[in-house]
Amino acid sequence: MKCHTNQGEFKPNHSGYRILLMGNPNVGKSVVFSKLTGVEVESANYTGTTVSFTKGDWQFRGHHGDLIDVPGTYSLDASSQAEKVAVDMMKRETADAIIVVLDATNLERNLFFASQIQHLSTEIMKNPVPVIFSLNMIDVAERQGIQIDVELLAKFLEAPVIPTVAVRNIGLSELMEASIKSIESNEIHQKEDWPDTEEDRWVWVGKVIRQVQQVEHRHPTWLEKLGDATMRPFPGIPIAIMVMALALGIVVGGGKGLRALILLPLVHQVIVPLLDQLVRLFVTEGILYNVLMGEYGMLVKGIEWPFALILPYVLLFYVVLSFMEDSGYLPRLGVLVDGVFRKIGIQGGNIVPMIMGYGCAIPAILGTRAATTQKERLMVASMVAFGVPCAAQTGAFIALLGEHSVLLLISVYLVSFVAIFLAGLTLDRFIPGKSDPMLLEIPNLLMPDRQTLLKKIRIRVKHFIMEAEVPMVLGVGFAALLAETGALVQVGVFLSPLVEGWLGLPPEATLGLILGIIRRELAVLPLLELGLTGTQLFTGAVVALFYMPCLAVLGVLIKEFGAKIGVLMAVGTTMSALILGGLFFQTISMVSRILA
Amino acid sequence: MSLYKMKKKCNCVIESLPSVPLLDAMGFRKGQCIAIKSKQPFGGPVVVCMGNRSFALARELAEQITVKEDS
Ligand SMILES: Nc1nc2c(ncn2[C@@H]2O[C@H](COP(=O)(O)OP(=O)(O)O)[C@@H](O)[C@H]2O)c(=O)[nH]1
Repeated sequence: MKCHTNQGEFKPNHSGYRILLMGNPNVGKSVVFSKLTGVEVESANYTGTTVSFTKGDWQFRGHHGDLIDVPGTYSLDASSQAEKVAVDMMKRETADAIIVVLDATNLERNLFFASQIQHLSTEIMKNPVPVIFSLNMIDVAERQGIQIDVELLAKFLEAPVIPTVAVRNIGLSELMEASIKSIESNEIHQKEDWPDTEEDRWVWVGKVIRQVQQVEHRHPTWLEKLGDATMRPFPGIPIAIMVMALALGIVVGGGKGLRALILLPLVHQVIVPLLDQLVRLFVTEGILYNVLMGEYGMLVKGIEWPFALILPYVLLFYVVLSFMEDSGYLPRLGVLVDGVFRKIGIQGGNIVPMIMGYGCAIPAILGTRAATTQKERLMVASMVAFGVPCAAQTGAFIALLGEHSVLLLISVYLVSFVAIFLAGLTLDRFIPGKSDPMLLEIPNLLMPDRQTLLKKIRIRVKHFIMEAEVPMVLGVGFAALLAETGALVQVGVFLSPLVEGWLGLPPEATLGLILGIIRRELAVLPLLELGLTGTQLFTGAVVALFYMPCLAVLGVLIKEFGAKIGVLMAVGTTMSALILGGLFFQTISMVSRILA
Repeated sequence: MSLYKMKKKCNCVIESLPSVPLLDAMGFRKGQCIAIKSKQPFGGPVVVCMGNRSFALARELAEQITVKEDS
């Protein structure tokens, strides 16, 4: 994130105009925000993307100021955390204007929200400010046969209404123009005489809708038909299975191709020899050379591991995830799995953070903020931290097991599924509280906008490279140093009852346990090229799967749930990793001894 | 009749509903027309369509909403 964003705090604005950006969930607010400020926020086609708020600076034709992205809420009754934040911001902020983003495909409810804002702002703000409306997603509305008389709507609201297509940048300059004009002309620009009761305001909304909106009955488009079909058990469940299989095929198959055909040759034949020549200019042998360019050299494994082995899977995972998010498919999956998820005490919507966890646990844990109860948050975060391998770890597993046998790879993921399910059942018993029943809006199935999609993938991959590359190079350097100085052998001797006796792994595997603290995939990668047997590979993979969440994840857990729970989770997962890994090894070797 | 007991593909009008703030904010009100799109097995949610938006409602909620068939 750029330095001029400021999450979570705001100071009074000394120069320029401050504008609040408000709207129902899923109306395209995040897109409007990032287009107006250039600040990159993740937007997604499901409810509750904006759980904390973000501030960004805008500049427009010689004017400037800041824009605050208020959490998207359905109403302003302060009945949820996000709504409290939203109302609070209106009360506290010294805003100069409010931009309300309305969804043209769902005008009725959005108008009610608009009426609530106008009503509330005249009541609670010290000085009521102009309210400007962005009537977004008119492209989708048109496709659905919805015609809206914008001028008439503006008359009813007594405020400017600007039609926009945020993803294509249409109407946004007009929106800023209208906002600045309203601020400078010092007119209030909003309807002030509101009926006091909600019932009467709904009546008003109904009356306005009848006059401004015309819906032409069209045959549903194929996307709409598909959107409905994905929510019926049949063919929804077969479609879900196909989608998942396709996603897996793209990530695993495509990743393997990228790795073998492009990245490995690039690293081994171009980058490493080049670095080698460069290093040889300064050092040719000794510890320093070995630490840099030796077998486990910082500049050999430190480049090969993240770029050739891990990056292809991370990249393709984010391609698939971003597509599923922006198309609006994920909430449909949530509906389909709700019945099963209820058995472990959480509602189906939580599949969204869980799937995100297969990319990285951090956004997944932050994503649990959208859950309505604390119990659900804790459960999902623990399940992700415990048993969901991140994309980097998946890449490492594929490197480790894929060559040996695909069956092993599949069994590791089966173990992970079973463990997540059992963890869910157990946590449901022990964590007090209850989860809320599902109540979820399902967005339209959309063809994702290419530019938005590419940008999102770019941000995520960039984030991965910055987050992963530095710790990885340092971790590998540290390991090379340990190995070169002989310290590794000493630690190995110390841990040998655990590593060799209990887990049946060679002493070199100690390195995985040390590095695994830094990043999860580093628990796997040192096992490469050790010539392990099938049993050892499996044991090593199981240990790595459940091993302690990496440092960054631990940090987020502590920040979100407090030190006690965060540390408890880390200790719990590490203990179960070592216990389960050992049990697997001991059982398999006992069985094979009996059979022999 | 409770919404959960309604047949699929059926248009109906809401007669009464529990006071859940989010339901209200999403636009579920007495007299509102909704259509049932699908019902998930294993006690899963009902998907209803209101206007041109779809909502998934858990069984517990759907059972508390009473509707009558639209003629
Ligand atoms: N076709 C179309 N899609 C849009 C438009 N604005 C936003 N979207 C898409 O709608 C989805 C929801 O947008 P988002 O900004 O996450 O909504 P928020 O929850 O209000 O922040 C995303 O997939 C956007 O790419 C628009 O004007 N036209």
